[in-house]
Amino acid sequence: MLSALRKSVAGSSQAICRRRMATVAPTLVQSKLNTQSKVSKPTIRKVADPIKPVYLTMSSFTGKSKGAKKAVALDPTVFDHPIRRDILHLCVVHHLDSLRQGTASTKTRAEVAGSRRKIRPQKGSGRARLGDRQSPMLRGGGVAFGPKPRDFSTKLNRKVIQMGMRVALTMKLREQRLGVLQRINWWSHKTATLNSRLDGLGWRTGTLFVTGESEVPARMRLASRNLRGIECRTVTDLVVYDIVKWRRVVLDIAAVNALERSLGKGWLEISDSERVVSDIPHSSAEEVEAST
Amino acid sequence: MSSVFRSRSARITLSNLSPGPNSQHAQKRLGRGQGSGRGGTSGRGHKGQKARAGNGKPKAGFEGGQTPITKRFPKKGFVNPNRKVYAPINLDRIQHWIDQGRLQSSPENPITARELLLSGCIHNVHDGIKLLGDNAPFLKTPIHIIPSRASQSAIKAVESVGGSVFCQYYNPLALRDCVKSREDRISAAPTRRTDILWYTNWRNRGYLSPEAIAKNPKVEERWKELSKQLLSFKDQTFDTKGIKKM
Repeated sequence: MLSALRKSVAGSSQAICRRRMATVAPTLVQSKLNTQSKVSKPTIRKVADPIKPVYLTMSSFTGKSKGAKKAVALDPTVFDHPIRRDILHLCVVHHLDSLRQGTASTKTRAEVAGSRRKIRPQKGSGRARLGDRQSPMLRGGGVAFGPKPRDFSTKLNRKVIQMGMRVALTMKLREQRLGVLQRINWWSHKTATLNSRLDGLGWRTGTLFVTGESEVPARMRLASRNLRGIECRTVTDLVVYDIVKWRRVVLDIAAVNALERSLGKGWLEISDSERVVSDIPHSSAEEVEAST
Repeated sequence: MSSVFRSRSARITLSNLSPGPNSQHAQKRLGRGQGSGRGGTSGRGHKGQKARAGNGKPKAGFEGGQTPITKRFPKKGFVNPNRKVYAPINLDRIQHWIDQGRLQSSPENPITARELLLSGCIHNVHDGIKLLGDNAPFLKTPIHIIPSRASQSAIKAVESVGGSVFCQYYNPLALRDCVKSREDRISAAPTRRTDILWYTNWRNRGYLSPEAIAKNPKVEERWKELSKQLLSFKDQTFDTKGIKKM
């Protein structure tokens, strides 16, 4: 009972165990324990935990392997960040702003071709006073306050963008829409083969493959490029918008390394040998079964 | 049990993102009728310069038509574009730093602006360092130093205890390279006449003087050729044949 409760507290109150604030957290945990179950001796959970990696079951193109499942260890500063929807919104809006062409253009009265001659005398005609033919009031005249080419891109601080990336990756992980493969490649360049395989995996709808290599492997690129709902790109081209937009994101080990290098706090060094573990350490509460 | 704590929020997609609460301001809509509160004069008050379009303020320094103070008095002074500010460094200070073990020097690894700056002996290299001879009798250790300039008393004091001084020309880029310890760029030679004359003179311990070229263990090949070319004018004579005397 107590152990189950403790586990649930550890799992739910992300802020408490993440922040590692020795002064605040024990009392919080204690009070929760007291209210939930009438324990005479409240146990105080050790709060200054060492930072533990997040474990995610490895995915594979071959589907469910018969042997023991492998898991990949992920840096919690990148893959277990508090969710900030407002930061995601900032990043998405920033990205979409940068995509705007801003080439809409109209001609003002100065730019419309034609003579500047006064089209009728100032007085005596019995009609309205008019200057030249390009007046915005007249048909064929220039446009008053029309659009002119401009740059719609906005500035967003680099650290905010980096935080957005952490939030987006964490979000996908918690939604069980993040997969990690050893390497993103395919044995054939034929689309049909990849298509049937992805169908079998249930990855056919909206999957973004992100590789940490300098280019998407050639056969994978050829096999996937005509598939709707599948896209392959390198981790250097990855933006927050993509992660939010795509239903499912599949990284390879190199991409995980690259993301942790650029986004991680460096509190936890996960070496290549520790990256893939054959069995998930059951003590950690962060184990996520990959459904992707 | 765990469901007590866990509340599954909806999946985050592009369609349900929103800015943080109270992080946005509604745009002020001016001149949109009585009910808006900003109709009528649109928040500009009644009539006058400030109610019109544009800045509504005269340009800075305008005193309402009276001759402004900037025009009332004649110009004075000038800005010298060739001005150089040297960071002064005195011999007793260097000795103190050496005593504390914060500076070392040898003929192969002389003290430069970099060593002085990093050891905290000077706080800013400005346009170079100038070695000065205050409290010269305190200097006991032979020091090897490459400043931008050196005073005569400092040169005398350093050399009397067995040290060496070679004054080297640094333009801003070369000085920056020196401080950053970058060696991939060739440092510029002096180009102004006064600099050429100063740095080719052994009296100043100029690094391009023939004596310095011979003595300096850190001499570069380029300097030898530079020294030769910059001093060649001394041997040159005008060919006066064929020029008509007026």
